[in-house]
This record gives sequence, structure tokens and C-alpha cells, in this order.
Amino acid sequence: MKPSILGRPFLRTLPLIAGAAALMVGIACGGAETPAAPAAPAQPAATQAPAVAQPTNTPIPEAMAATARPTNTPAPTATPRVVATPTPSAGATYGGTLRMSAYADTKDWDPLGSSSLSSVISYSQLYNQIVQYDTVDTNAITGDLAASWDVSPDGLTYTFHLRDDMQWTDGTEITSADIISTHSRYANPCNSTGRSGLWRNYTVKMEVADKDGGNCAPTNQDAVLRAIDDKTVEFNLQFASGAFIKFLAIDYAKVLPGHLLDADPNCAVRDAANPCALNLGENIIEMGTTSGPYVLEEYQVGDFYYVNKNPDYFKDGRPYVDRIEHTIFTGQAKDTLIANFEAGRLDMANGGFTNLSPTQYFDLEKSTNGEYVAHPIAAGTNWGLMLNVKKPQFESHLVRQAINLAVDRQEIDERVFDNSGGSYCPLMGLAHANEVCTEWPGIRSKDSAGGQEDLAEAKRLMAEAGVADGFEVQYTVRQVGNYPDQCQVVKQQLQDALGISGDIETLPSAAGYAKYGTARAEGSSGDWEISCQGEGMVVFDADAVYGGVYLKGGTRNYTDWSNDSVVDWFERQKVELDADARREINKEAELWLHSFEDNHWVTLQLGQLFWLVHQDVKGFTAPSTVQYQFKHEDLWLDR
Amino acid sequence: MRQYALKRIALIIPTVLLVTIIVFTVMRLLPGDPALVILSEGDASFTQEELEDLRRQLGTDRPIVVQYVDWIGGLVQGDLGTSIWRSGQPVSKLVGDRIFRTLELAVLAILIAVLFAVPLGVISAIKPDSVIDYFSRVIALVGISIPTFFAGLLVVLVLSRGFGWLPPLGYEDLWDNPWKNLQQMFLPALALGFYDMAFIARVTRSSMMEIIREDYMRTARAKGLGERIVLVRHGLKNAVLPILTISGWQFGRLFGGTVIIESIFKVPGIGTLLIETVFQRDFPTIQAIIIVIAVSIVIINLLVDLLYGLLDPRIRYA
Amino acid sequence: MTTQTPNDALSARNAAAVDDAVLSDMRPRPTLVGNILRFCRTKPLGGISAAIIILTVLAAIFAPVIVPHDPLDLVHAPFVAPSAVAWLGSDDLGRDVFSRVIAGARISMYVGIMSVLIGITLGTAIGILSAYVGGVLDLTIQRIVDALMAFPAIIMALGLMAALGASVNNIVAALVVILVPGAIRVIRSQVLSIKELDYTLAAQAIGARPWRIMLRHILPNVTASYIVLSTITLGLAIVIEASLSFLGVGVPPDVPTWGGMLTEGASQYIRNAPWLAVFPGLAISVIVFSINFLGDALRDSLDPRLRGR
Repeated sequence: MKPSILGRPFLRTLPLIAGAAALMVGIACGGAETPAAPAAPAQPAATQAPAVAQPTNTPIPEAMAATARPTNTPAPTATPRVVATPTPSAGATYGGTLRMSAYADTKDWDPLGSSSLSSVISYSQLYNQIVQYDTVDTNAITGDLAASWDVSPDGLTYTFHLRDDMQWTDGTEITSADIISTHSRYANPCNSTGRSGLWRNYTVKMEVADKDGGNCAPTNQDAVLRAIDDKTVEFNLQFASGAFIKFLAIDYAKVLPGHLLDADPNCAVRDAANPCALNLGENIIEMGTTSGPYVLEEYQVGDFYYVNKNPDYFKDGRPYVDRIEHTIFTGQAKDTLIANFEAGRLDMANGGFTNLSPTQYFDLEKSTNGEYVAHPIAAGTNWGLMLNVKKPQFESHLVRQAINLAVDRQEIDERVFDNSGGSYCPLMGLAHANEVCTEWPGIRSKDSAGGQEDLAEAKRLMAEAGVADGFEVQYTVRQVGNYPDQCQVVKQQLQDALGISGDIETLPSAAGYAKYGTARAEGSSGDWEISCQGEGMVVFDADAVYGGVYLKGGTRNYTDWSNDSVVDWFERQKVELDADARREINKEAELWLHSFEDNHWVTLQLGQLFWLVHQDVKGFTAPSTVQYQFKHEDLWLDR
Repeated sequence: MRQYALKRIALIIPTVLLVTIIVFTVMRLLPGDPALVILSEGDASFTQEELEDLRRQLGTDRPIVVQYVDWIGGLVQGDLGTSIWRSGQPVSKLVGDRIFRTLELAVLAILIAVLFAVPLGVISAIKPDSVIDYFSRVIALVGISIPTFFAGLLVVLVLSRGFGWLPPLGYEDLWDNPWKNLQQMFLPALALGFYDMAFIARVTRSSMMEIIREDYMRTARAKGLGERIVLVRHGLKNAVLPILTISGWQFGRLFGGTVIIESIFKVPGIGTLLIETVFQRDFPTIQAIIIVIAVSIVIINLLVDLLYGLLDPRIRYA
Repeated sequence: MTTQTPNDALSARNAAAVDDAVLSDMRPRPTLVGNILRFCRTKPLGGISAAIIILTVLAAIFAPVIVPHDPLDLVHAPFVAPSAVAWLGSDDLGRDVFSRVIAGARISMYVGIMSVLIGITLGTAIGILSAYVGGVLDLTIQRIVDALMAFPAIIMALGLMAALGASVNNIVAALVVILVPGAIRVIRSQVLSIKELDYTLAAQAIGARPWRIMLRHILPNVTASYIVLSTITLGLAIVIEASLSFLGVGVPPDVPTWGGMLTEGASQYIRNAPWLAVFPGLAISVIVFSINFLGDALRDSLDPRLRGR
């Protein structure tokens, strides 16, 4: 018996939204030093309907091809875009308590510099953005605090018109001043970009008096963003971009109460040792000043956070439920998490990530007779094997090349991901189609004649590098999700094929990041050698893949590996307006990356993530990446 | 007796001091610099300068002895420090919120354990090598040979698969809603107390076995007293002492067990906080939790010893 | 010190009881075989337990010969139920559970026996020294013991493992730190009473050196406690090793240990692949069970007050 291993061929099918999701979003995600990328000004187009609910039999390459299609990105246009107040869904009922699981405790309650998923999930329900992603048409952007917005004809000025009737829960009115106070923090170069400040890569750069001297007072704030009146704000871009507003719409770009930020001297610039008062859940409860659909009621570090309905929420008829209880289930509590779902003590996960493996999701769907549905999030994670090129073992590119040839990607997908994985291509299907990559040496099946040749070639390369019998290496992996499982399979494969042996060190998430970080310092090779890692996608775009893995300062490029050719390809493709031409550039780059002439990241696959939701929970449509849709204001319980 | 008590209480001071030194030293051995953990969490790149700045602010750049003296100075004044991870949150608040729940769990567990263990141990002792003896010994040994976490997971499995039921998530205070509180606490306490039940049953058995062979028992029987009276008045009364001692000692073990059981049953006590903070390298909070636990255990052991002395006049106070 | 069999310990104890080394040589020594036979006759469960333990140790020693597959090899499909192909099934990655349980015996027994051997031996040595020498040394050692015993074992182990890093030998080290203080306390209290007994006093009176008294008169008399302590704590060590895996600070994930396998099986797959938890769980339970039964039986037959009833 082999539960659910082979039973879900349709899961290989990536929903069509994947590509359309975030096309042409010109930004390398997360990396603070990543240069801003001008994106193609996209034409208004029909949005792909979210295909999550009705998985098709479309093979992956085609789904990936969807990226070539124009997106729904609001085009630079002079016509004001008016957003209608959401009308309650037909038949929606009010009341009840939603019980959700969280995969980790929140680190920050203040979005400034925040780039952790568990954090954004917790604070998202308490505040609003200027604009947001639609909860039904999950790739479309709609108003949140803004009732409408215009874009100047040259595409360089965005003007947002706020709603009239909005108040903080302490009774203060929500005005442009709140937006200016909040977003000037995100724009301030003294603060790390995090994910809340990703939009700043497109606007005029904010200058400060003396960054190195510690004077972070902005000198050109009005040129970046300004309040025209109490209800109107303006953002100025460096170049026309349809991507700007997408990053303003993600849940990280929250607007906080300006009068509290201005009153606390610790808030303007992030300082880990003297944090802004709003960074503590306990303070948020005490101050009682939020705007979102829910109000934080109770928070116990490491255990739970409970929120109650905001009765004065400015969106009519929202939210539907009276209360949400988030309970934190860490990696140690996997069985408890499953048990609580089976016993009906939980209604849904509070995001598209838990510590469960694909197999466990599918088993849970089965054991509850489909009461719970694991909604796939296609553009999940860029899984890879991270080689510390500063270490002697991986100095030779021959060794790295050998590893790239010897890894059996299909076996990893089968044994660890229950065959739920997506593209094996280094650029995640955004360049070559997966069908093409699966014919390449190293990626083709090890059972084929070609695959056997790859193994022989890998051995030859090892011999050429002078390590014919392999070597010892230390694997370092975070104890999150099924990262350690991947490492065990990879280790065994490299041991069998190349004689590379070693121990696996598992570390808690935060400690693991700290260890990887040790390799960033110049002149230090760091305390780790090889790691099984993943880069969660903010947007599904080639820029994000480059920025996460292949550019200096990238979130998963801890050795600051860099190659001039790659930088060149990156710069060329990010300004290329023609989608096909851009894809051609990326194909060239992809072939070179896979040749491993010089590379540090052995791509394993594009991993799919899942958002587990009970069927009684209505008003849910899965987003296309794992990084947004956490306000939960449209959810209701059909019980 | 008084002299013994005073001496015993005085000895607590060096013990507690040693406890703090051990905790502090082990904490500093932990790999992973808290400043580095804080800075690298956001994936943002940072400079060596920022790292050193943060270390200075956190005070982790100072010599370890200075840090220790500083910390112990605060401790004496009742200041447990501030959490590194929960930036600026006083540790005493984090711990204070939770200690009561862990304590409730531990007390409930020991009550359940004693309630089952003593009868089991006594029966086992008066009828050695009988079917009942072997049965109760097997039960007791199962308790000892099953790791606490496995017992906990089995309880969860049986309940959720067998009955489709689990204790409600979250936490309701004993005073606010005793019924819901008991629903939430009984099963974790049972799983937690299983080991201790087994252990106490073994101790009860062996101390009863020794006592049964004592002369005074023979005398009591010879006097013509009924077997039951002999057992309860003379036997159990004398067996209470070792049982008491062991139960007191077990309390320490229970605190350890709560670390595991709380994470399985989602009880928001200091155990879950400890795991969370160990993994986050939040030194002040870890130190505070361990100190609180260790000092509680030292005090409980002291009380047990004193009680022991009060109850058993044979003890010599040298 | 040399390791002693229970019989040596017994005869030594008898000999010491009459406090005459010369006399002991003249007494007929019970034969080893005779003792074992008597033990098995009076304590059948103890005998069976001893047999199980010996079998496990043998399996651990000869594991590489016994296992049908390399315990790390991904030989089967994932989650194969127990069958003729895979006797005890395969795990989530497709490794052979039977091979892993056998290989796990090797590591779990190594961890258990090493930590107990080192921990209890160290504890016994310090305990004898502390009690016999007394004074400031005793006071100091007792304060350290008090301090160490104030930490619950799991919490102590969690802290030490987080500090030392996950490896088999670090687990042994952490367990030693946990086991030593308890052993010191038990042995010390025994030695305190032995110290006051006539034969020790007599030995002192005839001018025997402290080392000689400790080795010749005191050590043999704590051997019974040493053996009983060892058996009891061996079970404890195996259980703590399992709990450490649960807390995420145990051995590396691919290294087969009973504790690691039980943790993974029980906390992740017990619903759909129960064999992953059942077999390592059974292995732990049976061995700890046997160790405890043996410990009980040994205590009963080694304790003169309980003997011959």
C-alpha cells in the first residue's frame, strides 16, 4: 500500500493563474540591494479566472506559458479607476467563530522591514493597505483604503482618493496623514526594504540627511509621496511601471495609525533593540488603534492570537464572522495539527503554508471525506540545493557540475513531494518549458540511458576535480516543513552516485537563517557547507528568481555569489518590454545556469504549496502566491 | 529539628547561586548569536557595524562575568530582564502569565498519578508474584517504558480517531470556567502523570514489601489485628514517607514533562514558551524560565525534606 | 575499577560482611553457572528479560550482518506496509524499517549503555569519595549535586543538546551529566552507612589506607546498588534519547535510532502508516521493560533483606 503517492495526477496540473499572476512584475523580491526593475507597461487585459477550484488537465509547460500573456495590471492611464464598495455575497451568513491554525508565531506586529510570512498573517487582519488584491479575482487589484485612483498619462504619478467614512478604532479619522507617516517609513533608506517596502524600488528614491551619520530625516519626501489634501495622496515613480501598484497591494504594505507612529520616537527608523511600540501585540491590544476587519483581543507568545470582529469596520457588511482564533502549531505538533483537523477543532489554515507535507494534506482530505480541501498554490517555492562556494569542497565548478548531474529530481519529487512538484527548470518554467528541461542532462530521468550517462559523466567530473572517491560535507537544514526530508534524499543520492558523505544538521528556522547569514560577511566562509533551501515566491516572475538566488544580496544567496553574465542577462530581460523577447533572453541565461560553468544553486523544482480550508468556510479563493490574502474579511461560515 | 531546618534552608543559597551559574554558562554556550538571529530573520542584508551596534544594545558584547553580575543583580531585585525576541517585553510578564497553567498541569498530574499508583503498589506488595502483582507491575512498567510524548500522542490519536473528539483549543482559566478548564487539562495531565504513576507504584510496592517484613507488622498481626487494619495503620502509614519523597522528586520530572505535553496538547504554559525561546536564542527568557523551574524544584524538595523530618522522628539531624 | 559480575559482588559482599579477607578465600564460592541457574529459577521473568537484553545487544553488535538492506538506502517505495518484501514496511522516504530498527538498536544501545556506564561509574566514584572523605569536599559536591538535580532531566538535556549540537556522542555526554548527580546521591547515602559499620571501623583501626578501604571494603558493598542503578537508568537513558528527538534536538534525521524513528512515526505518520511508530515503539518498550524487570529481579536477589524469603 502506498497512500496517496500516485493518486493525484491532476495535482501536477498547475492552475492557469500561476503565470498570469504576476507577470512583468519587475522586481527582485526581497533583496535590499537589488536594483529596481522597470517592468513592461502592460496593457489592460482580461484576467485569467482563478482555476484553482477546477483543476484542468493542462500540462505544466502550458500553464507556465501563461506567463507570456498580458496581465490584469492596471495600465498607466488617465481614466480614474473607481472601486465599488464590495457587496455582501449572496446568501452569506453572519456570525460564528473561525478557528485557524498558524505554522509559527509572529515575530513582528509592525510591517516595517517585515518579510516573514508568519508575521504578515498575524498583522494583516488588523490594518488595511491603500489597495489590495481582490479576494475573488485573486490577481486583480482593487481599492482598500482608496476608493479610486488615477494614473497620469506618462504613467509616473499615482493619485489615490481615499474613502470618506474611515476611522481608527480609537475614533480618529483615517486620512492621508496616516498614509504619509506609514509609507515614508517604508520608503526611508535607513530601513531595510523587507517586503513592506518593495514598492519603493519603483518610486523616486527617498534621500535622507545623513544616513551614515545616523540622521535619517528625509530631505525629498514630497518628491516621493505627498498628501494633496486630507483624502488624497500622490506617489511619484521613476519610470512607468505596472508593477508598482502590485507591491502596494500586498498585505505587507499596511497603513498604520500615523498619530501613534508620530508620537513614538522609536517608530521612524527600525531598531531591533528599541522597537516601535506597535511592534508588540500586547501594545496593540492596549492602545486599541487599528483599522482592519478584526481587532486583536489576546496574544500568547508561541501559542495563539485571537481577534474579534471590528463592529465599526468601514467596509459595509464586513467582516462576516464574529471572531477568529489562530492557534500556533509548530513542527513538533504535526500530529496534533492533523488530529485537530480530523476532530473538527479547526476550520482552516490561516495561510498557504503549514508544516505538513503534500502527502499529509492529501491524506487529510481523504480521512475527512473531502470535508477539508487543500487548495493548491502553484507558484510556491523555488526548491534548491545551496552550495557554499566559499568552502574548499565546492570551490571547483566541476564538483558543482557533478552534483547538478547526479541529483535525481524525479526521485525527490516522488519521495518528498508526492509528485506534486512543478517545473525542474532553473528559471521555474519562466524561460524554457518544463518539457524541454526534462530532456537536459542531469534533469532527465536517471532510469533512461541518458540519465545513466549523466551519472557516469558526474563521476568523471569528480575524478577530474581530484575527488574521485568523494568527500565529507556537512548538510545544514532548517526544521521547517519537509526541508529535512529533501536533504535526506539528496544526501543519499550524492552518497550513492559520487561518494559525497556527511551528517545532516537540523536547526530551528531562526537559528538556521542565522547560520546561513554567517557566510555573508566578507572574508568569512561561514559555518555551513551545503543546504537544502527554498525561496518562497512573492510574485511569479523571472526577476524574483534572479533576485532571490542569482544576484548579489539575494535572499537565498548567502555567499553573495555573483557572475557578470548573469547580471547582464538580468538587466537586459528586466527592461525588455516584449514578452517573447524577454523569454528568449531568459532561455539563454537558463541554459548557461544549468551548464554550471559557474553557479551555486542546484535547482530541484518549483514546489507547490497548499492552503487547507474546510468546505463550510465560504468566500475563499486561493491566491496565486503564498504571500497575500490574509485579511479574511470575506470569509463566512455556512453552518 | 529547628537546627536542621535552618541549616537546610541556609544551604539553599549556595545551591540557587550554583543553579544560576550553570544556567548562565550553558546559555552562553548555545551557538547562534541573538543579534545575528534578529538581524538575519528578515533576510535583509546587514553590515558588520549594524551587528556590533545591536550587540552593544543588547549588552551581549560585554565580558560574560559582567553580564552575569548585571543579570544576577537584577534577579535579586526581582527583575528577570527583558526578552530579546519579544523586543522589550518584560520577561516576568511572559513567564508570570504562564507559570500558573504549568503548575496546574503538574499538580493535576501528580494527583492523578498518586490516586492510581498507591492502590496498585499496595496490592502488588501484599500479594507478591501473584497474577495481580504481575499485572500491576506490567502496567507500571509500561508507564515507565513509554516516553511521555508517545503517551501523549497515543491519547490524541485514540481520542481523535476513535471518538472524533479532542479537548477544545485555547485556554480557559480555572477560575473563569472550571468545566472547560478541566476538559482542557485532564487529558494532558493524565498523559503527563502516566510515567509518574508507574514510578510511584513501583516505589509503593517496594516500600510496602519492606515494611510488611518489619517486626512491628508481625507484632501487630500477632496482637490479632485484622490484616486490613495492620496494612493501613501500620503499613501504609510508614510507606507514606518514601511515597511522599518520591512524589516530591517527581515534581521536578513533571516540570520537564510539561515541556513535551504542552506542545502536544497546545497548553500555553511555560513549557511551550521554553521551546520557543530556546530555538530563538532569547537568553533572558530562557534563563528566567529555567531559574523559575529550578528554584521551584529546590523549594519543593526543601519542603518535602522538612515534612519528612516532621513525620519521621527516627531521622537523625546530624 | 574493574567490572564485576553480580556473583563477584555477592561473594565480595558476604566476605566483607565477616570482615576478613582471608576468611573469604576459605569459604566455598558459589559457581557462576549455579548462580545464574538459581537466578533464573527464582526469577523467571528476570531470566527472560536478561535473555532479551542479551539478544538485543547481539543484534546491535551484528547489525551490519543481519540487516537485509542498508538502513539509509531508499530501497522501497515510500509507505510500503509490512509485507514479504519489506518485513516491517518502509518509511516516508522508502527506507526499510526492519533494517532501521536493527541498525537503531546499535545506536540506541550504544547511547544507553555508554551513558549509563560512564554516568553511573563516575557517579559511584564521586559518591564514594564524597561520603568517605567528607568535610568541605563532601559539602561542595553535595551543593553541586543539589544544583544539578534542580533541573528536570528533559530541560537539562534540551539545553545541553542545543548547546552541543545534535550528534550521537553529544547525546551520551548530555545523558552523563543528567545521570551523574542521581548516582552520586544514592551511592553517597549508602557509603555513609557502610562507613559506620564495624568492619570498616575495624579496617581503619588496623591502619588500612583510605584507598584500600574504599576499594576493598566500600566498593564491593555498593556493587549491588551500582547494578540496580545501572539497569534502572539504562531504561531512562533510552527514553530520554527518544524525547530529545521529539524536541528536535536529537540525532540527525537520517541516523536510525529508535527514538528518532518513534518520534517521526508517531508525530507525523501514525494515522496512515502506523507501522512507522509501532515497531520502534515496541523495540523501546520491550527493552526498557526487560531492563526494568531485570533490575527488579536483581535488586530482589541482591538485597539480602529480600533474599531467601
